[in-house]
Amino acid sequence: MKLKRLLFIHIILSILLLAGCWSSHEVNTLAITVCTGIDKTEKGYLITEQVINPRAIASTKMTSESPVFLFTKEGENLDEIIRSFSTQTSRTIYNAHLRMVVFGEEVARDGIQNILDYFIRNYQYRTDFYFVVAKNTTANEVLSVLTPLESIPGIDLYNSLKESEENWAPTKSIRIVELVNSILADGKNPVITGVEVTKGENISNSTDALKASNEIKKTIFTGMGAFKKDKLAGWLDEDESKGYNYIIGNVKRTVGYANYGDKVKVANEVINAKSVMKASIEKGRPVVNVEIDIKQNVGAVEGEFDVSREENIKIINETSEKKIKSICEKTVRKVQNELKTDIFGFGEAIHRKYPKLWEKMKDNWNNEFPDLAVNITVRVKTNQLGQITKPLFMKEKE
Amino acid sequence: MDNTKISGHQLFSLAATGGVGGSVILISSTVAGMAKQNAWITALLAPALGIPVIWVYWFLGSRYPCMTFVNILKKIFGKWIGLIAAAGFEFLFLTTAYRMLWYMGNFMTTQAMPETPSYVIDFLFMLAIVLAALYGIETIARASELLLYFASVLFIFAMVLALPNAKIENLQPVLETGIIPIIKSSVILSCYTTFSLITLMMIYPFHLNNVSEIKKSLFKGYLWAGFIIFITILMSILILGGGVTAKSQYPTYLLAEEINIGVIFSRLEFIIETVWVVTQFMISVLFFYAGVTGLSQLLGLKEYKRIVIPLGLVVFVMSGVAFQDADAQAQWSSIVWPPYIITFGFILPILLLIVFLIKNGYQNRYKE
Repeated sequence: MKLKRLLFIHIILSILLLAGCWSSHEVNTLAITVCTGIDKTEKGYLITEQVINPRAIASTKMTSESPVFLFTKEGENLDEIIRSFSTQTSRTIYNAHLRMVVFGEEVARDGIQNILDYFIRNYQYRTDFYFVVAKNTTANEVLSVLTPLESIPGIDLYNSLKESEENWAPTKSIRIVELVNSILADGKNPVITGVEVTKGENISNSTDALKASNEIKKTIFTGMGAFKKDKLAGWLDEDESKGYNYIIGNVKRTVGYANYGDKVKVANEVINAKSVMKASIEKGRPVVNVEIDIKQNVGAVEGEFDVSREENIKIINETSEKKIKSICEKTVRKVQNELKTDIFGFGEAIHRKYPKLWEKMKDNWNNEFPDLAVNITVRVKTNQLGQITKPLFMKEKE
Repeated sequence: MDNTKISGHQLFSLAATGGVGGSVILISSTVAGMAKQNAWITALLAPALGIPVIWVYWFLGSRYPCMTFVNILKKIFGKWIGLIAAAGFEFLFLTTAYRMLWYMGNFMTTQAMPETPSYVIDFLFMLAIVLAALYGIETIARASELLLYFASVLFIFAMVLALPNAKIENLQPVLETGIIPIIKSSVILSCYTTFSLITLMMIYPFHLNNVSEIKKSLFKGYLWAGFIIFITILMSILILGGGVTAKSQYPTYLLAEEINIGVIFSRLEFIIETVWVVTQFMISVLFFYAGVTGLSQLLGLKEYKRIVIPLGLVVFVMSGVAFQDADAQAQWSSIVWPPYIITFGFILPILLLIVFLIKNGYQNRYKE
């Protein structure tokens, strides 16, 4: 009797639980988006969705199909447009694997607030994708470029941004939480890395890259876009972007060179960089002090310069310090005079240290920022010389 | 009433899971909305304020061993006032039980399965709650023992993995807005973590008789819950910042989405969801069980299990109409819930204590 009852309960539960989920979507009914491009048009937005072509990605045979498809649609509202892609495809757009959002330059100049609201409100989006701005081009153009090494361009962009941030300083990956926080903060403004499209032949699928005779079209990250609140204010070039990353302490590894005399050029690999930003008050006015600590190795030596001698290491340190300092100062000057937006978070540094003073000056911060005194100190330490000590072709003095 | 006894450790785990309750995923947004980046100080202050309250709960229970809360009320307040007060408590327990269920459905339909009607999710959840109530207190207590460690380990694991995203600047400047928002928000926090433990008064004087063991377990469990809540709020502020935390519906879930270590440790938000489902389940069971047993005593029924299924059905149906929309819920949890729970979780116990002390003092003097 008891067994019968148990069996009955078991069957009922199985019917309830094993019948499958209510909101189930099988993989073969989904169109997985890796990259979303947003451009501005007269009607509102032009959305470009880069959707993975499963036949080209998953099949074991070589196919001549393109690894991704682009879907574009114009409309007034993001949510509306992305839903209406169902009129173009047989599959539902699925956004949880999104890697990149590309803003067209015009959208960025117009303000991205309303777009961000959608991305954080909609449950399908996670928070781990990056934002970039298409520089001198449209997002649509950026998404239409196929990449030679990685077959899915969206993932190529994502990995390339991550790699370049770690190994080559002038880029910065930014995710939605950081982006929203820096727009919300009074004393800080966001920066988003820019992406450009080079001139060249457009390849139609990844195998064509091997056959292409000329230079192929590529996407390149170039410099960073400085935002004022949610609107793009202007661009930093590569050096300035590096300076920016030095100041906010976002440099992980990079390479810089220093000239010594006319003939000698020493390239240094930065292996570790840290920065501390502190506010202080001098003569009743806030001053921001930035201290940058850098550890580097000697990467390459051009000309006759004995790096194994201690006094020469000192010279390398000093010249590198000067060089990095001048880059940083140039960046700060440009941002203060031309862009007039506090992308470094100097305001937040004052806010953290002097909350009461900040309360008074925060409303007027955009006007006060260009006049803020910023002191930058750079300390460089050279650790290792690489696999050889003295330059190979240096003549020894007897 | 069944006369099963539970162990001190089981009471500890009930207090811990009940104290964490639904707050683990929701509360940081409410607290950060008031105290901004200082919400973590709130999370330190609230347990400090809560300990005397828990002491009152313990004290009342310790004077009347082998009794349930309904009987204690009748004993202290007299038959009629006690009856009215007890009825008020029953109403609180049962109405809260279906609101808990609503949270469950709402969370699932916003974060994971928007097309599924929340009644379906509520039904499965309610099924488990009703089963737990039918099996009785021993099963509930044992489940809480198992689930507490399961949930805590998963939670700590997720938080450790989230550490690389933490930014210490998000906490500064400390105490920018002064102490008042912190005190205010710690009262609100107590409304969710401390005062809900009044449900335990339906359990411990009756099912656990050892007074000193009750004291130890209650405080330990409460502090454990306080610690988990503190970590939740601290990490939300550290990773998301005060602004985003205050604006999101489920901040802890959002911060788990930020976890991204290598390729293996990413997309871990369902860990947080599991933890929340577990603790939310425990607090729902506590409220429902307290409601059902209390009502049966109030009506003088011999066996509370007879009304479990009918009341379960009522609670299940009500869960769908608990709030018209997310707005109504926000209104309710900020305007209605705090005074409501403060009346029953704070003012009434204090009143009980005062009446008890006066009565006892009177009796003692009379004896002399």
